[in-house]
Amino acid sequence: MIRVAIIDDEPLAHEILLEYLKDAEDIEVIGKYFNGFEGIKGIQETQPELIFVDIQMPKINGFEMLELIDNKPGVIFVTAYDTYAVKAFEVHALDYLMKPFSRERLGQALGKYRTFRQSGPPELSRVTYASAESEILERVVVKTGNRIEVIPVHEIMYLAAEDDFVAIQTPKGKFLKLRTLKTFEEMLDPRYFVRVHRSYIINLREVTRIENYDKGRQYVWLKSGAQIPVSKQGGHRLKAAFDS
Amino acid sequence: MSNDLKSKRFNKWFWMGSLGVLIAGMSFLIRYYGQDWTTAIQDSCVFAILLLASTQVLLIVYPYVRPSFTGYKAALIFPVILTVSVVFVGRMVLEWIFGGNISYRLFLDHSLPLRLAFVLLFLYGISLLILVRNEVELQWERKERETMTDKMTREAELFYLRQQLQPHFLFNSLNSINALVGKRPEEARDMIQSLADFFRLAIQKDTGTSESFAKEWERIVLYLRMEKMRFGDRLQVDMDMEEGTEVLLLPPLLLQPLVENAIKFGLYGVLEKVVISVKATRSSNFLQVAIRNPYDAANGLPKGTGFGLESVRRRLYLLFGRNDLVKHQAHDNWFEVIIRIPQLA
Repeated sequence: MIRVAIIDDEPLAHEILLEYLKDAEDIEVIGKYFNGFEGIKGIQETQPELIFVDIQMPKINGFEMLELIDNKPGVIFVTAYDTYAVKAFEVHALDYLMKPFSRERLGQALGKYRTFRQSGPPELSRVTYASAESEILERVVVKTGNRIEVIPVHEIMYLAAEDDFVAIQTPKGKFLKLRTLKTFEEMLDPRYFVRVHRSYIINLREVTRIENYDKGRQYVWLKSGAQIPVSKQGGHRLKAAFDS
Repeated sequence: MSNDLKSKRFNKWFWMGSLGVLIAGMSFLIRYYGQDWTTAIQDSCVFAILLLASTQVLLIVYPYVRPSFTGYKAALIFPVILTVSVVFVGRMVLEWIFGGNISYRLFLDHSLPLRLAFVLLFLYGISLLILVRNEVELQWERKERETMTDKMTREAELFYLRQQLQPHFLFNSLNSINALVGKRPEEARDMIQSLADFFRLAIQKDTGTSESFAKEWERIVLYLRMEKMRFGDRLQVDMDMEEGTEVLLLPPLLLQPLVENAIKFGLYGVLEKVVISVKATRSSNFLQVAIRNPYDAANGLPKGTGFGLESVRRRLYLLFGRNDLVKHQAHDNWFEVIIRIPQLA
């Protein structure tokens, strides 16, 4: 049996999927969730192998939800928007169903999954969301234990590279995210965020002063009292950002 | 910039030219009646300067006087007052200059009625010119504003159509219908009907600069009904329309984008149940509509309210020349927009 879960904020979207899936004898729907938060919790608990995900959902969207799931199941997006298709395949979605979809089209998607499953353990969706993000990042989602935190980017004070993680400093505390500083640098609005050092990106709105020490060493002070080192190249970038 | 400079230069030449023409004309006249050239030129200089000064006064005063508004009394009286003052001051100055010259003083007193008549005619002429110019300018401005308003209406319609015909609204609705058809065909029919009515209202071509509130209301009701079917129990709609508001007028499609914003930020901004409330009331000469949706202050001010709120504010400004017709309040967990539409009876 293929264990399946549905994550969509519209009850009627669940109904049509359930109706169509009823005919497939090898499918068992084990979870129905109505937003990303429920989805993350439910998927962790029930471990489905295939999920149907809507993109536009309250608070966090389908992509952000996938970012926060550890053992990623196979993903089929179900949405009325055609604009996310490229991004969907970049996060290794199996298929992209456009609402409204026919029974046959759903059958095709399931067929794809079945062949995928037979040809060995599917190497599925290790979500490398960053490269798929073309627009400017507005919020970051992180998970600490069982809590999911949605951080609007303007609340970020600075970001620091820590091993494989990026530490996101906010007034609420520090959050870790498994990503590179470079992906953040590419996605954050360059008018407000500047990479001042190999290991640091700062929020310009937080800067209170810049200090020069001997041997050309430079530091920026943030409102929170934090002191961040500035590399030579970072100094140029900082100057350019303040001048513009 | 360069235009301003040009007009400044032009102004300078204009004033110098007028001064020259006036002095020349009057000197000849005074010489003709027997005074010598020096006296004639001095006399006409005094009067020419006084005349131009009064013209300047009229230029300053008239923008505050709209004959078509306040009547023509002011325009009739001003030149008279100015004429008396000009002749009075002129005579004082000339008496002071030519105090000892008996024959000139005699000439001055004899010519006073003529001077009065001349100055009065001159100032009436100038008044007429200024008033006509102002009135034409006003008309032109009004026309300009009308075209802008029309353009904004058209833009709103276009935006709205694009928004509605943006496939996702239609496609999501069709997906809902698809789900209903099998098990609850009656509801499916209801939704098809709403969808059809809504689109018919949305693409009607005869939208002028204003339409009845009843029509806008109907559109909003249909829209929210469809959204309610899609989102089920999570969305509650609380609509209230005071009796008598249905005949009031408003610019077409003014409120629709705001209702859509409310849905968007309500449904996608919070996880809990969402109550959208739309209340229409009538107060003195206004139609007042308050649209409220829950929102999460932690998300910050919803992005994208930009187009909705700004365009509504701008359209109302162009139509009514007022900036205080759109208000919004962001509270901890709800957001409210209040629109007041003046009713020109």
